[in-house]
This record gives sequence, C-alpha cells and structure tokens, in this order.
Amino acid sequence: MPDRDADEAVSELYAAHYARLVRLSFLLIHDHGRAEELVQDAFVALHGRWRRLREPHKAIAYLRQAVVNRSRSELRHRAVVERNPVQPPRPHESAEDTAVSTSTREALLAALDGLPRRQREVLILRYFLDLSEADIADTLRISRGSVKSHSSRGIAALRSVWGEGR
Amino acid sequence: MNPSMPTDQEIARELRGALRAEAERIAPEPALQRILARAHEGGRARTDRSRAERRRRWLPALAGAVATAGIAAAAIVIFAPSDEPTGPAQPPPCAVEVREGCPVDLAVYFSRSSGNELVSAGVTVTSSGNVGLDAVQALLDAKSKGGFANLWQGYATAQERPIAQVNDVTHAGGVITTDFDRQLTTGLANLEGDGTGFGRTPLQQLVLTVQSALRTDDPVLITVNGEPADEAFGERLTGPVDGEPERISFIRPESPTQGEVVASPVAITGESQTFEGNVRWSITQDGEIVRQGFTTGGGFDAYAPFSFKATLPPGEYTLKLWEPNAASGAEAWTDEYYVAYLDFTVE
Repeated sequence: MPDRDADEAVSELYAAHYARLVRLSFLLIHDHGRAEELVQDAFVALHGRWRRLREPHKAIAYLRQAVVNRSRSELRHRAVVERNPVQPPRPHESAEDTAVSTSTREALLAALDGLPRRQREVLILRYFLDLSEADIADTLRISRGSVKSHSSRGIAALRSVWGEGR
Repeated sequence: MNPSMPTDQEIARELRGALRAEAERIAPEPALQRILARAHEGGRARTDRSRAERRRRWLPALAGAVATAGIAAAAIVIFAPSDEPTGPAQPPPCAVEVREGCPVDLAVYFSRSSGNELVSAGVTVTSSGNVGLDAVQALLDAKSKGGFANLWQGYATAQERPIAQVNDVTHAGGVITTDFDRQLTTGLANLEGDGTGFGRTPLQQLVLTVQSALRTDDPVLITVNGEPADEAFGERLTGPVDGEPERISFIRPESPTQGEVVASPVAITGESQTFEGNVRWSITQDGEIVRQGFTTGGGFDAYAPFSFKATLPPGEYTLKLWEPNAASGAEAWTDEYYVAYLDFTVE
C-alpha cells in the first residue's frame, strides 16, 4: 500500500509542478535535457522517501530544494569538467513583453547569470516561481534576512545594466 | 534617486517578464510514467493502480432518462517494465460506475468578473448518483474567487449563498430538464433589469456546467417546481436554452467535437491562452488513461492554436484538457483551471 500512496502523491505533484520545476532548473542551468533529468531524479527520490517524509504536505518544498540543489551540483560539475557552460540561443521575442526591448531583456538575463550564486537563486525563485521570502529561505536553507540581503544586492546589480540594453 | 534610473519595482517587473519568456522557450516532455517506472525499478513487474486512479464510467441514474454513459477522470496507470499483472488488485469501490457516494470530477463554469465570458474550474464532489444533479449542485455551491464569479451565489450582493435549491435534473428526449424550487434571479439581475442580456451569463453557467457533466450538447429546460419557467435572471425564456461554447475562455477545443466519430490518428486541435502556454491533456478509455501529455498554446495574454495527434485503436474515448494550478496556499482553491471534457469515438 505505501507504494500506492507514493504513486498517488508523486502523480499529483507531477501534474501540478513538474513543468514549472523543469523550467526552474532550465533557468538555473540553461540545459533543457539535463533540467528534465534532474527534475525526474528529484521525483524518483521523493517517491523513495515518501514513507519517511515527516510532513507530506511539504513535499513541494522538498522537491524545490532537491531541484535547486541538483541544479547547483550540475553547474559545479560542469564548471569542473567542461569549463564551458552551455549557452543557449537567447529567447525569441514574445508578445507579452513588447514594451521591453529584447536587448534589455537579454542584458538582464546575462547580468543575472553573472551574479553570485545565492543572489541568482534568490532572484529566480522570487521572480519566476513567485515564492515568498519565507519559502525562498526554506528552499535555500538560509535565513529570511539573507534572502532580503541577496535580493536587494541582486536587484542593485541588475540596475547597473539597465541602460545598456535600452 | 536619479529619475532616469529604474525603481526596484520596474526591475522586478521586467526581470519577471524576462524569466517567464526564457522559461517558455522549453516545453517539458511527459515523464510521469518514466518517473514511476524508475521508482519501481527493482520491484516485481506489475501493473499497478494508485488509489487516486478512479475509473469512472458515468452511468448516472437519471430518473426516467436516457443515460448517456461517459467516462471521466483521473486515472493513472503505471506500467512497470514488463507489465505483467500480478493478479487483480482490489478495485476501488467507485471504479466502474458513479453511484451515490462515489467521487465525481466536474467542470463548473463561472463568469469572468472582467467580462462576459465564462471560465471553468475543476471540482470533485460526492455523487448523489445523478451526475446532472451533482453538476447543478456543484454550481450552486461554488464560491466566487478571484476572477471567477459565480452569479448563482448572488455574486456582489450583500450575502453570497445559493440563490435557489435544485429539485432534480433529468435527461431525456434530447433535453436536459433542471428543476428548481423558486424563480431564478439575483440582485444584480434586478438592478440590470429585464432584457439587458445580463441574465444570459448565469444561464450559460448552468447550461455549460450540466452539458459538460452529461457529455452532451442538448439544450437545458428550466422548470420551477415542475412547471416550465418563462423567465430567469431577467431573461425571457421560450424553451430549452442552447449552450454558447464560443463564450468559454482560455482553453477552447475545436476538434474533435463532442460525440464525433473520427479516424486514427486523431488530430486534437483548439486554441488556448494559459500560464506559460501549458495545456495538459489526457485521453481515457473505460476510466483508464491511455494517452496523456502536454501541449502548448498561447501564454500570457494572447491566444494561440494548439494541436497534437493521438494514435488510438477503435473505441470510445474521453478527452480532458486543462491547465494545472501551480499556486499554493489560498490561491490553490482549485487544482485545475479551464477544464474541458468531451467524448469521441475512433472508428
């Protein structure tokens, strides 16, 4: 029966969160294929831990942590082995952002990629997943004060590139 | 601050747009079966079925009605590598047919608070054994939330509560009859007055909700304590009310149409406007998912077509399309937005 509980839980979490978590990982590592693998690994690990999970309602928090941690490990591994991070072609223009020039968007994303790891993770969790400070702190296992600090420093760094793409 | 420098809010807004646009560049492939197969690796080969898999052949006991059997719902069949059954598992009690006490999945239609279009949300209720009645009761019970306004709850009036009680729902002779205990009206309808067209929206909430539950395009006759109503929500009624599916927002299937007989591979098309362009779909037969996946339509504030093909052996199937709700907390009031169901047959 426990397998059935795990199957049910993982299926429901998959339906609600899989695509967003793949996209989260993609934003962190810029590799679609690896992002899918990392997130699948996280779901498989969750399935295996299901019976030991003390608070099943926090499963999505577990998944977010697992995806961020595995993405971080992927970047470390890539930095050591390849020294050449995968750089995807920049995004095509989409209708919702017509008020923002592509160059500004690209400058923002490029600047984001250049931020210190924590600042980058905080900003992606805040502005892609729309997580609260508390949820970001829980995901990254840091204090809420650190979340505020990393966020404000990251935003300040992005301000410096504002004019470059406009 | 230097007026030429952006505020934190401006940077945040544009960073959010940039991240979402970047994320939308990819469309994840369906992976649930792979995840579950990997999770079960090392275990004995089997076909498993989770508790959440509820096979629902809809055989509603509509009194004196022609029961239109449909199949709804969330079934997830997990195929381990060799797929050899280990013997029949204990079937869930509501697996085969919906009857009193069984859970039943429905699409309840709301009014968009920002326009005259309609949007659906997925709900699961305990069936009375009459799926049509379940659907109308679910509509009467549904609370307004965010952009989803339920005019059957006296939306925007001092106290929100069901505006009437439903006595019965029957489906016979090409007409769905919904019987209520009083004349249908709301404070808003009274304010707007007769003949303004306002009443068409709550009427369409009813028609589209009950049509979706019964998998039919048949019109809906409103009666009050057994007598045909000649007015509802300020609208004059001259007979059964037809559905207006063109007023449905965000996920609009186009083909196949409800009840259509098609050849395999089946081309499923439509248009959508959903968060990140994501539209989930599943095709069920006898309550079991036989195909499932994601497709991509329009994101943010633009509709775009979606299409995909499914190769299916001859038989009867149910297509379900929806957008998963990825929100948490108070925003997670429904798991599924813009749910659309339709049945089709592969010849």
